[in-house]
Amino acid sequence: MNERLIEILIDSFWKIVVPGLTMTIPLTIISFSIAILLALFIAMMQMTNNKILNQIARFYVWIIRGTPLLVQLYVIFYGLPNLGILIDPFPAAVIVFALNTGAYDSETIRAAIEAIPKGQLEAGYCVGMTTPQIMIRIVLPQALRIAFPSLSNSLISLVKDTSLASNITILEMLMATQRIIARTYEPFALYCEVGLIYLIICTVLTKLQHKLESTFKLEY
Amino acid sequence: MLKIKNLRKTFGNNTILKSIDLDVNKKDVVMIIGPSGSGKTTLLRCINLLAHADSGILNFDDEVYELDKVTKKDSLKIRKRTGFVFQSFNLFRNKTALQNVTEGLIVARKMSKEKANEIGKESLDKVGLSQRYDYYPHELSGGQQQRVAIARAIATKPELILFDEPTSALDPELTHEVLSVIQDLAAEGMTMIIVTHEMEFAKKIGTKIVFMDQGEIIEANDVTTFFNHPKENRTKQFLQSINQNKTV
Repeated sequence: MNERLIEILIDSFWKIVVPGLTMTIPLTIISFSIAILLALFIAMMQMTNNKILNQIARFYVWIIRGTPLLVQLYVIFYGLPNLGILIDPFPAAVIVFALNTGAYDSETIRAAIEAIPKGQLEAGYCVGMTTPQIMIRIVLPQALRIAFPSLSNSLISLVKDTSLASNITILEMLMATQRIIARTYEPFALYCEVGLIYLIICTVLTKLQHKLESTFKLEY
Repeated sequence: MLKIKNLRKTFGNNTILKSIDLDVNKKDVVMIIGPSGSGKTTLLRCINLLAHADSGILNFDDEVYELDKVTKKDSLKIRKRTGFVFQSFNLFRNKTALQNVTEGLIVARKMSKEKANEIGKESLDKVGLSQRYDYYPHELSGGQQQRVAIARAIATKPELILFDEPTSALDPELTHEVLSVIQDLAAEGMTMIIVTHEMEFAKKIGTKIVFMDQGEIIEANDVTTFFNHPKENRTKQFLQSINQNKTV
């Protein structure tokens, strides 16, 4: 490896990490938080006895899971202006990532809720609790623990999927890398470098996941 | 205290309960016995509205409920006056023994945490679990879990407790500890309806035996009359088959 390349790599490291800290991570956190709330909501809709709510929830999951994420980004950012709806790049990305992750996570959460024995719900009724009280205090805490590994998966996926936001003019890590490549003509080294930075972020998340899982085990 | 008239329940084309009448007085310990699938559990679940009867009238002291028209509010009202103990315990897995007992007090009855803890500990002491306040259900044996469930039921100071085969999921050596807790409650004058397969237990602490078969009450009588002078043929057959099993 020659000295020039090493210099480029060191020099570009911060130029990639900074958009990582200011864009990739905030975009992930905001989208994921909305996605989890959305997923809970959709899971509840799927489990009520109301046929219309069931259908709406199923339709949403069907559309989102059946179309590519990149196409969803294009429809919202480049497509909607045709209908007179203009959305800035960042909110557009948040909307798409939240809708997308939310659809997948709703299935995870629904399955986890269904895994909690119905008897606990009945026991709650018998001591005078209402369905929402039992859901929030008894069922969801247990269900979220079951769902935790899968939800961690989806968070880690989302970190990497945010690289697609470069396609709708968002300056995140991948776009920052591409700009450096355009100046230096070192695609191999720089793409490897950005890949390595993603790997580091995901490694931290994986460690965090394992740590949280083992503290859960200490309790119930 | 509790009067059920003409309770019917069907699941699809299956009639589970055909016109049940049942009278429970204060301090009664009503033992419901009978072969599996005779509708004993369903009857119990209809009383506190975990299952919805297709018709029937329920008198709870002077409150009258038409069982096919009960509202959510009615259910809550009935459940606040009754306790329920399940065959499979159904403890809240994410709560300690004490939290299992206090949950209903704090959330449903809006009791202060201090007061709830006080009552919760009292209830657990009563079922012999004063050393297990902070244990999670998975750290307790089956018998201990069922005793926590009983503590949870008595903490709300119910007027009537319903037991659905409280020892059926337990090893024989753990059955005893649960039965003796129930016996203590009977001695205190708690009104109870108990679905059970434990005949000796039914004989010992029951004040009234109700024998069910195929969704009907075949015979209901006080303990001595029931076991010594059964009237119905079906009852005689049933008692005979139990006695045969014992000699084998």
